[in-house]
Amino acid sequence: MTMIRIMSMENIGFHRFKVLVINTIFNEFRNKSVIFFSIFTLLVIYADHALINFIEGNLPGMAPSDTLVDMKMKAFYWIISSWNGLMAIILGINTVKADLNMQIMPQLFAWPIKRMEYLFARIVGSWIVIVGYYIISIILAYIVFKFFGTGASIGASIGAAASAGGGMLSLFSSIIVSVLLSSLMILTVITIAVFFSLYLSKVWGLIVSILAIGFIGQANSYFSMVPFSEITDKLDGIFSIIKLLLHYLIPRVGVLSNMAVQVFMGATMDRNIFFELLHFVASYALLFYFLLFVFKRREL
Amino acid sequence: MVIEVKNLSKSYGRGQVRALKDCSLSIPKGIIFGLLGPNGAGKTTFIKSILNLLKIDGGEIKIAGINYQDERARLNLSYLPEKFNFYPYYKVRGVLDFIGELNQLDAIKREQYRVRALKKLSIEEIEMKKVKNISKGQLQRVGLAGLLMGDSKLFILDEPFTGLDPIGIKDVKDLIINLKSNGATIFINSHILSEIEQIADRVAIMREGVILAEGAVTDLKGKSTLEEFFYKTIMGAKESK
Repeated sequence: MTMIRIMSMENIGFHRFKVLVINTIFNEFRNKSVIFFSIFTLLVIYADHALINFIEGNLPGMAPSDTLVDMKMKAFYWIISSWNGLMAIILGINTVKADLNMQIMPQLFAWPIKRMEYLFARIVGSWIVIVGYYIISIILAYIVFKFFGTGASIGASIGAAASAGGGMLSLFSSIIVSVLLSSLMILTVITIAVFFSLYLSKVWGLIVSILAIGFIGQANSYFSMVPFSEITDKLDGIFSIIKLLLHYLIPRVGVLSNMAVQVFMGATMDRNIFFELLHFVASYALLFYFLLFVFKRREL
Repeated sequence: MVIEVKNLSKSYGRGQVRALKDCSLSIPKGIIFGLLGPNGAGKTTFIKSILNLLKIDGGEIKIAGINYQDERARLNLSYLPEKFNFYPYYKVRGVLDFIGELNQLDAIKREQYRVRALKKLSIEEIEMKKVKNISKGQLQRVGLAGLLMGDSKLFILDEPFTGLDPIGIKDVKDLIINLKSNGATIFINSHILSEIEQIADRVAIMREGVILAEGAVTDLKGKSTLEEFFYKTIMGAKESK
């Protein structure tokens, strides 16, 4: 009987988690930033496409076609990747803060919802919105570049780049791996922004989150290429010690982002992907546990 | 007992403001219970403590025999805050469906319960309106309609008459009586004594975090009115202080 009761509670918990995730997607889908970035992405795709067509049409021989294509894809990918980080911060700041500001949270917690379920549902819902935007942007860009104007050579270029860097990786698998790596970065950024939103106003939360993510990214680039045995040589002050702690204790947003770009462009990866994924799992669990700890202490 | 509270204490600001002082209450099944008190008496803090929304300083709280910190304690519970609120871009229908979904209703039941709830609260005409386009009174009615989007056995209502016109107040009273007739227990926070006197079986009077009196409405008021008893109790406590 007890077993049945526990299982039934788990089913109820999952059902409510699902309802909350859908509710989050429904809320964030209307977020003005998401709408703005989606429209802007369309403009970037169009501008990028028009520019390469213009260069190829008017300045033949300025650069090899494949180089132009690579530059164009890199620029497009770099732009939407940086937006994803910003979007993750904006949605992360908003997702829990809106429930607090509108006094909806006490209503929600009158249901048998665990704080962990709520927090994870809000983070996952926001994550789905951004990753969805990300995937749609890439697919859309690919379709435009492939089937309009100079598309054929672009498709070939990406495929060549992917196979050159990734060996067995096909174009689509390199995109999938790249998106997966970026999505881990997005998950981390949302979680960090949610943490700051518990204590700060939306504007200050946004500013502090941007600075914090920037600082973590800097810490990652500072320590990522340093062999473990030479770390002590790099410690020359309090800031370097903080950077070291961030590099090892917080998911490595900078490293994940770089790896995503490298996979997408077919470049040789300078990090061990399995070690980085292992580090992500452990450090994200730590980050989420810390967020949950402070959230549980919050009175509603 | 549906709700059992023993020696509940709660303070704010590192113990500087003691909102609840050793409060004890036992609420039996199937009654309408009114917690009365002036503004700032600690009524909302009491409700929020029961719902595990606040960290209490001490005491014991059980709902349906289950410790209040266990999520299962709130399985058959519905709560209406003093000011019900929801995401402004949701339609009223969407709000009720969301509540129905959280209460595990399938699509067919959600539809049935929604139609019934809208009719009971006389808000059929705003079903397709967005929350941002309805009045505060209508929004409160939507919150009340939400109470009917499930099969809860315990209802906790914080100032349910606030913001309602006389017709709305009557609808709420009818709703509460109807819930009781279906075997539910209703816990109401209020300072509108006349309405509580008409519907409550038992009441407790609270002032500055202390429960001053508790019992059956008929026993407490005797031959006078609940208002007179309330006034005497509150003023008596003030004088003895």
